[in-house]
Amino acid sequence: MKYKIMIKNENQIIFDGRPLDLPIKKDILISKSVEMFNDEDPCIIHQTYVIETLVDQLISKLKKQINEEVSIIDIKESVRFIDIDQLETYKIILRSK
Amino acid sequence: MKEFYLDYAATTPIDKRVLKFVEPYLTSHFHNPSSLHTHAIENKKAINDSRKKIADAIGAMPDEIFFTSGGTESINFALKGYAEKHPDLKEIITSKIEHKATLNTLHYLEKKGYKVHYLDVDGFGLIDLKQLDQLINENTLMVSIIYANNEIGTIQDVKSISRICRRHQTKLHLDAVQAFGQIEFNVNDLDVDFLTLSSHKFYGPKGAGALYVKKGLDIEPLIHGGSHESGHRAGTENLYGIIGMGEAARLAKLELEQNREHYQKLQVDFHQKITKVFKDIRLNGTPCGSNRSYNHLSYAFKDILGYQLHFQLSKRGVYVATGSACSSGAITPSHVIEAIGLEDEYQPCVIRITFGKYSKIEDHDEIIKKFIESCHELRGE
Repeated sequence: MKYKIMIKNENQIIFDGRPLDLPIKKDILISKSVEMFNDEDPCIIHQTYVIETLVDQLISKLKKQINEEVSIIDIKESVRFIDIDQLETYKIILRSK
Repeated sequence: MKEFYLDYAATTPIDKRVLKFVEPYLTSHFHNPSSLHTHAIENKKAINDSRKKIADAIGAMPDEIFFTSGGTESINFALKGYAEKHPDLKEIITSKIEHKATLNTLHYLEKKGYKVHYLDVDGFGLIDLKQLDQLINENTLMVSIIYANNEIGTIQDVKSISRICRRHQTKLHLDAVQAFGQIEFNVNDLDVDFLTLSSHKFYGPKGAGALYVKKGLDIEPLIHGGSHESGHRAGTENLYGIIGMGEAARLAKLELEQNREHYQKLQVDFHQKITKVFKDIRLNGTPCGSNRSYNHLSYAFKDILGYQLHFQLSKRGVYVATGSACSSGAITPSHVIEAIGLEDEYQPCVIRITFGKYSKIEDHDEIIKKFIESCHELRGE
């Protein structure tokens, strides 16, 4: 299954695209890299692996409510790596392509 | 979750018999082999026993074997060590599909003023012998070639390469890290001058390697200090690594035929099954049964990114390798994949599958199923 993610603020679309294209917070990327590799300066291959892991965890969470709007406030921990301002007030939808 | 390890070209687990063999050297037999008391002398003997096992396995004399920390150090030792003793010879020939241990050592030598020629390869990864013949000249220090390629499994025609080198009276270094334990060979038949081995590629411990240096060739040590390794590599020996490597080499030689049969069955079965399901994938390197490592398969998939497929497979417990490299902050196809001229649409997704003696043919259906699931997830089918 190929997925797309949409992040909305009421009727305004904030993000609509492939999960791996979500903007990532650098500090979360580094802290996850430290958790996984104990490396504060990961190479691009390790960065990509970290991002895939974060995104995969989010998809697993959202799969249970596929095509449904989910309030981000309810899944705060799973989206904390996404670098979008005021994210907590938005909604997120996982769609199958 | 059941796990499937298919990355034996990256490393192998230590053989339990080797582990049992080295255990005393991690505990009770700790004595420094350079000392002259009873147990130290026993350890010195154990190192020399190991040297003999390795020499026997490749048809060398024991005094032609020098222990190192692994394949990378052996390659550095051969190239830099011989270069230092022959400062008048300033050209080196290699191929475009060498391991980074060779390429980056040569890049270092380029900075020191050496001219390095990189031989082209054909679509199978076989080097251009005519180009080699034309490039060797009176300034050539050495030719350095990888015997069995780690990424695509191609086995070079070493006898033809050595004949060309011999005709021009040029030295030949062979990186046999992936070849040992796969191919029956003898340094005299191959007629090579230097040959690199790495213990952890044939079920020995990590941190041990060896360089074969043909008798009579002079080579400068990389590491200076005491007179260990006949003055060729200073430092107290990695006792259990060396002893484990010797025993692993003995077993690899002894069981080569049965392992090869096992690998061939695995290779043929997996190749037939995966190509039946994925009709548009490409096998990188030489065809199965023709100058190809018996445990090695490398595939290029269309319209998928290698690191994404690798991630999906890993999530499902299938452990393979990708043909991707990190270059200037981007994930790019490796230099080997570029050199064989794989079509652009296939380059981003190369997956390497390498079997080992603990791989099981009955796992293949489940592994293929996991490939299908992973590709479906990525392609949105």
